[in-house]
Amino acid sequence: MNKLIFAIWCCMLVAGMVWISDYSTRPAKSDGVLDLWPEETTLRCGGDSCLLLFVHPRCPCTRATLRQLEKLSADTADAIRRPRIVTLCYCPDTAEEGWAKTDIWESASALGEVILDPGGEEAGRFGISTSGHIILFDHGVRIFDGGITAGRGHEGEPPALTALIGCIRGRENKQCAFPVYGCGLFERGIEQ
Amino acid sequence: MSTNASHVLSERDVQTEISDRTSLLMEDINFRNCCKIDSGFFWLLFAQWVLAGVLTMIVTPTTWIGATEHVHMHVWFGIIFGALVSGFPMFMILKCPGHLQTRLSVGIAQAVWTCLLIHLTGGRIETHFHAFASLAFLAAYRDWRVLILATAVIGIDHFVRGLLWPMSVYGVAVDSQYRFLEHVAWVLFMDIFLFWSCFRHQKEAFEKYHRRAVLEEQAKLNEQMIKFSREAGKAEIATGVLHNVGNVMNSVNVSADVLKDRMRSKVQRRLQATHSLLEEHQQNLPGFFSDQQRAEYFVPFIGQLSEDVGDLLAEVESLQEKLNHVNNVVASQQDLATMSGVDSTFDMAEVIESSIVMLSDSFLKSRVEIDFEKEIVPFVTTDKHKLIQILVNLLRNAKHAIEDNDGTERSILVRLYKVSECRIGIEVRDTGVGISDENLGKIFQHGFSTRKDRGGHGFGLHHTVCVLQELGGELRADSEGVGRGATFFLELPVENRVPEGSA
Repeated sequence: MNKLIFAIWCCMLVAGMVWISDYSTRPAKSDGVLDLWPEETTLRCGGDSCLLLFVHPRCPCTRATLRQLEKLSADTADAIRRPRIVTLCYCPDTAEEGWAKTDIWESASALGEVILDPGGEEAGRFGISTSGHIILFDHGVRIFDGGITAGRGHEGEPPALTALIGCIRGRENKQCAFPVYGCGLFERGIEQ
Repeated sequence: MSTNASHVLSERDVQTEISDRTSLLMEDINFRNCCKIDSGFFWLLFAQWVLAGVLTMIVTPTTWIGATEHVHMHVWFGIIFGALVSGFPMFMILKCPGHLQTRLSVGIAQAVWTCLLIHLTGGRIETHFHAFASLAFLAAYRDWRVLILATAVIGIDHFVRGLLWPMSVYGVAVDSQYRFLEHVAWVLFMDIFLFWSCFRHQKEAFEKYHRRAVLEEQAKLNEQMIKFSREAGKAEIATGVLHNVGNVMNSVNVSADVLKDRMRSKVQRRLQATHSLLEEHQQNLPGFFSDQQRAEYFVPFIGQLSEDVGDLLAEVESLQEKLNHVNNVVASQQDLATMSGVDSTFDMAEVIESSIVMLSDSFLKSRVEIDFEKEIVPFVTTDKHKLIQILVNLLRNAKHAIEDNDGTERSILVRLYKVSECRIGIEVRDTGVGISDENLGKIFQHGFSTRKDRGGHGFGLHHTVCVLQELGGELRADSEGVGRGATFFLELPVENRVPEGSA
């Protein structure tokens, strides 16, 4: 009897490990991202290269993205075409003032400009639905799209980060679209 | 003794018993050690579970979908999966502490905690130290199977996740799918020392408990031997009593025979003659006694009768003395049985003379002459009755040796002499059958006798030596060979002080 329980317990451990691995590596849906700078946006690129980061200010997974961006910023400090970093910080329409002023807002402010995105309108215009999603535009053309973490809340040196650095430095990349791991910006049909 | 012999363990039995006892002791100490380590792991597993729950609640308490806040899946995972990982081994520790399955489940749980932590921290190199710490803790079980199992779980986790999602194990995206081998190799490197430590500890424990088992077995065997010795001692005491009483009873029998012969041949016959004479002259007794001739005959006759009765009385006294000695023999054997005796101070020459007298009738019957030479020696303080037993034994043996010899000279010489200020010596020299060189070394052994065909049992001399050792004395034998007589040298301290180490 003990052996049977023991075997069942082992199976449950394996199942648990598989589940957490699957959960951590299951990306959010990110199709529908625009290839070109959308005309309807109120944002202005303001330069040759612009890196847009969409964040939910209360998403714990996004902290990893910001830490990755800090590394990227340091690594590309000497790049010729260093992009302007703009963070669009989601907040609900009905949110009280200061709702979005979290540690994520503060971290993003250290990297560049932070713009409040009430109701995620700007995110919607760019086809973005997940916190931590990055788009890099070069002269209005999207050259990078996706997340730069290895998993949900995971740091490290994923291929996405390497690819983004390559894009900034003007290198050819085999892959320029990567999965995004983070909280949903909208409630409509977005997987958590 | 044959019954006892069946209880005596053979060497193989003893080795098997020691081996079994060592295994039992090892099992016991390992079980107790595992119980102790189990209780430590109970709290470690509980702490890891609590820590996982608390950390997830601090680091990722909630997640958001738009404006809606949800409890983060990590929190549920930390609590529920943490309970699953830690709960089962904790349950096993409570239910079956010290069991193999319990420690194996602890090993697996600890390895899973390592894998989980490495995963949740995105393969931070610092978290990998949890694996080494866990293995070191698990090594406290001193069971290589636990280490192997934990290592296998960590290795499989590294291999599978290294293939599917290397970032979660190594923190970086790696090209080589064999990197897990490097990690496993480091774990095995540590395992080697832990295995060595386990085996060394088990070896030391085995040696320690083997020694303990040997000592226990020795104590058990000693107890058995004491028991057998006591039984043998009882038999020996009984033999001694019978032997010594038998010696005296021989003399008693001789005395009784002498008494009977004298009663019949002299006293009874004369009394009958007197009775017949007086009956014949019953009608005229005054006339009978007035006859001068008859009176001259009758008065010496009565005097002779009185002398005969006196002799008989002396014989009865001798008989009484011998019977007293029987009492003393029994009493002294009781003393021997209780390992205590009563010492008294006496003149050794008198004791030797008493012993000779005790056997004088049997010497007479066997036509053995006995001489006694004595020097002036100090008074001796020892157990007198035991000493009489010894002397009677030696004299009786000497008489037997002479009886067994065909020589014409049939004599025993007893010599009392002073060895030193504190020791005296008694020499008993006979002209008996003698002792061969081969038998000289065995003469004092229990059960050894050259007269087994003539009723010897081999208890007398052995018993004599044992009793003499109790009195602090010693006995040795010498002989010029078969047919040339033998001499026994007895040495005794003036004060009965048993030297240390003597039986």
